[in-house]
Amino acid sequence: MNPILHSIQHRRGFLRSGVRYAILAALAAVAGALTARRTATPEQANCPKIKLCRGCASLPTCVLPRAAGVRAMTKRS
Amino acid sequence: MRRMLRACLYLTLLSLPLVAAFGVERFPPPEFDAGYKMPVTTMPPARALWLSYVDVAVLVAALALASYLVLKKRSRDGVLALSVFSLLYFGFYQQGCVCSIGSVQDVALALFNSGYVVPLTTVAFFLLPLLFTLFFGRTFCSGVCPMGAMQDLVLLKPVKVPAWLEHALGTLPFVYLGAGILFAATGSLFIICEYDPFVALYRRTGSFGMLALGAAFLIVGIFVGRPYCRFLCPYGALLSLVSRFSKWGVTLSPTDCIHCQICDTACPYGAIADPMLKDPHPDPRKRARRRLALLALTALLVVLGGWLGERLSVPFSNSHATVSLAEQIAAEDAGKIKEPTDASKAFRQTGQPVEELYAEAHRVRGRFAVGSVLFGAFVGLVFGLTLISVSEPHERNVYDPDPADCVSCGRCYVYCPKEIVRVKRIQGKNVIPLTPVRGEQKG
Repeated sequence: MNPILHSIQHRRGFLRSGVRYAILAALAAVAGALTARRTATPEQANCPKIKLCRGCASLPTCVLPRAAGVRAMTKRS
Repeated sequence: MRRMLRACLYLTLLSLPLVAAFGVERFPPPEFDAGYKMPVTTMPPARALWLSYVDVAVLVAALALASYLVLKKRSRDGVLALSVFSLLYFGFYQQGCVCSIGSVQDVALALFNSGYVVPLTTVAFFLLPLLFTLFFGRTFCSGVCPMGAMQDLVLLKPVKVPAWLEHALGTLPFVYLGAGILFAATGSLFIICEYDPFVALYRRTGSFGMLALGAAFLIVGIFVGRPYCRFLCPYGALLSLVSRFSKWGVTLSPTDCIHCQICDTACPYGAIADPMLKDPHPDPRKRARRRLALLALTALLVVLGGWLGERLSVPFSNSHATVSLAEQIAAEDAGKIKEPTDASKAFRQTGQPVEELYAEAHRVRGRFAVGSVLFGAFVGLVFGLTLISVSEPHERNVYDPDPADCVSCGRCYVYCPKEIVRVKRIQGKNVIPLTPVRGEQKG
């Protein structure tokens, strides 16, 4: 292969790998930040009032007292 | 035979909304005398926690299988079978929630609102497809995403979208992504879920508007390959960014391409990048001037977008419940509106001072002012970068799938004459090696 072309491909490959690992690090940081939020207490937590409890994807793990009430009601019924 | 199966599946999908008409309430609601009308429930009840973990396990298995089928086995039939499974499991059984596309909003809300606790399953649905894409390309889109699977299965008479239209519409997913993040991060709306075209079909219930939107996308999808994925999906925008840097991906015998163009014709998603053998602007001075002009135009678009975003921040902020309530209360107090709403009546009954409500609405408006400027600048940047991407010549001498646009459906494998020969030759050794994407090939 042409050495100039080879050098360009090598450089591109190196840059792509660098960006790939940077994205990987960013994803790990997002995962860490979101997992750390799970330690929030009911006093710290709030609901964005976007959805009703019943249809909310966060219901199984939500720490708010209202969610705990809905979970208990769902269990009873 | 395959065409007949597809036609049957297509008719079944279109007739699914009719099933809702035969639905019977297990526990009929009481009849109210006051004329109260029961609201239509569009959201399914939350799944048990252990079932959510099962969903994550199925997602991991489906992603691994899709990557194996696309890159190692190179089997279009396998991908098709996986698409049907994903549509049934993630679509009709799981009722489209939690989905990776909507999870973008949960993540945005959690990152900008320290009080919002996002479930681990939602985090997994957001991160896992991105992680797989980083290494194997958009195998999530190939046969794991139920929305992609549904559109892939109804594609009967694909037509080519002109390149200029494809480039123009290709910016929409980024705009939608930006808007989705803006409204979710400010705690106003989950617009991506609200305007999800297929969720009503999965749940076999929903408003007329949602059903009509889903049906419209399916009808367009008969002729235009994956219209939602290509021209609207915000998660697809994220995946297309990540897949540009993926380690492995779909390739077609890049070293011995004979330029027969069959793969280009066979790809219904316009994802095969054409070779550019001649530079249209060979004069380096002209090229440099052109690049400078495009960069200046991009900067101008960013500034213009930011300014426009700032102008739109107030109308945007009215979508927030607190701001709209404050507007309503202010209008009632000023005598502009005579009839109070349920929300304003409820607020007055709480006895909360109006000043507190106004202060909170002011804080929300402040968040929108910053967010809207960033959103506008982002949209300007997207337009500018698209112009640069379209104008800049790409050095390429073979027909090969573009990693950003390719949804790894595997159609091109069975059309490329060189690839058929190569796979047959390697299948004798029972191992098909993974192929790195362009730019990472060893010399």
